[in-house]
Amino acid sequence: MTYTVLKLKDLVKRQIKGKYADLVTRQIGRGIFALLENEVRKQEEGTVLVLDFFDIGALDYSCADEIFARLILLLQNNEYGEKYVLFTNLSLHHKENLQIVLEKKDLAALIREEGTWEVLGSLDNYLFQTLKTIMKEGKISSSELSHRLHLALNTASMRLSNLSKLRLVSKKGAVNSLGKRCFIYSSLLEVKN
Amino acid sequence: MACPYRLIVPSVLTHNSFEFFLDQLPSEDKLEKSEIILDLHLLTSLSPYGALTLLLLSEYLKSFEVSLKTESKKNHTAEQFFSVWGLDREENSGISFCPGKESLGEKVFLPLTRISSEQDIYTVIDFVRDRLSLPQEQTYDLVVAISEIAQNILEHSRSTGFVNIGKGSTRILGKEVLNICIGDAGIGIPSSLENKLRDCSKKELDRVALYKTLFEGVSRHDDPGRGNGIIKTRGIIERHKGKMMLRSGRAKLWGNIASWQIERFMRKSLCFFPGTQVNLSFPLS
Repeated sequence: MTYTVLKLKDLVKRQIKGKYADLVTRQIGRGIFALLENEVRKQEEGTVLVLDFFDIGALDYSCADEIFARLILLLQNNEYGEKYVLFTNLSLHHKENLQIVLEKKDLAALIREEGTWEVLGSLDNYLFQTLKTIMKEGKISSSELSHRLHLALNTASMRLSNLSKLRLVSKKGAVNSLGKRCFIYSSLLEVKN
Repeated sequence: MACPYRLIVPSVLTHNSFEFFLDQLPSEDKLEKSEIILDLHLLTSLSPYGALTLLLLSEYLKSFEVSLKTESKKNHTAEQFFSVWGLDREENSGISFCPGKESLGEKVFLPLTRISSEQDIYTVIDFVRDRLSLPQEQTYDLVVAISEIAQNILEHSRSTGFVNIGKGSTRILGKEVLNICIGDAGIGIPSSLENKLRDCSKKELDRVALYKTLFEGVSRHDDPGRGNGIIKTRGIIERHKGKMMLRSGRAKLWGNIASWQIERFMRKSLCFFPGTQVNLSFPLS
């Protein structure tokens, strides 16, 4: 998995003349989204784009909706292929406002912090429990998950597939020890940046 | 020629006394090409809301080709208030916006500033951030509140608008407060939501539109990501124990009340005033 770190502050500065790097207003959000989308398209398949909030000031709901809710929705709709997004260096203020925006659209995003992670937005508890297992293991197949959580194989498979559609884990084809084709689902935090 | 209408500006013009002042305004059918005299001789205090609404009133009357004249009878206090808020008037002429005319007074944090683009909102926000040393989370909440309300002017009003901010203190505890006024003389919330509230009678439209905006986050757009701005700003103001007031058309509603108190705190059947005006009281400590 390859990682590309994108400093949001640089995008703000390309969009607006201002002393502080605040992410506010819908119109500015649209401009920043266009720049961000361009970056996403440039990435190779399988890339995790790390959106760095370092030095970002205020984040309002309209701007968050235009940039982040839209980006996650389009990623989930497979507009950009197999690419992923992680958020990092968010303050409590950023998290609170992003949570409101994502929840309203039934979306979820993965936040990476030093040595830990969390999900913002809306995610069913059973999917969250599955995600926790993947994060702990690093990589997992349906049969391994089924064994670990005492689930029917098709239930385990469905949960992993749903998390993959939400772009919260990556999915790769592989061959298991019995020579059968299977999918391996990996944590997006697998490689340290 | 018909006798001019005389509107007496009360000694203290705030969002409360503005309603009594506005009651003197002739109905729209009588406004066309009429003559109005704005009598300022009693004015001793002009709140940010008062300054904003006088400017918006002047803009509104222009659309009826009203000949607006002001009379202050050498009331120097009125002259000073006009100056510090960025308003201009000549004896026998209307009110105009005159940015950066005078140094700021003690109670003026930000004089009237036009909002006609996103860059204007950033300029206001930078100004506020430069001059306040608040804890970071409080600063960000203030920035979000200003940005969310001000961008409604650009997104919904079909007009430009203004922001001004005054410094004050609470009556009982003497806490420092910023009084932020954001408003326009555009189409207003009831007209913006008309298509969404088709079942609502014309009489009830203004009242219902304000309630739906402030308490249910209804927007003219169907996208669930829309309509967050005003309802979440209400939450921010509530968290900081401030106050929020929204006026549009013929109704006025406070944000920091429980939904069961709506009937008590909703002012309806007011005199019509165009556009939307928001008054936020944001405690600084």
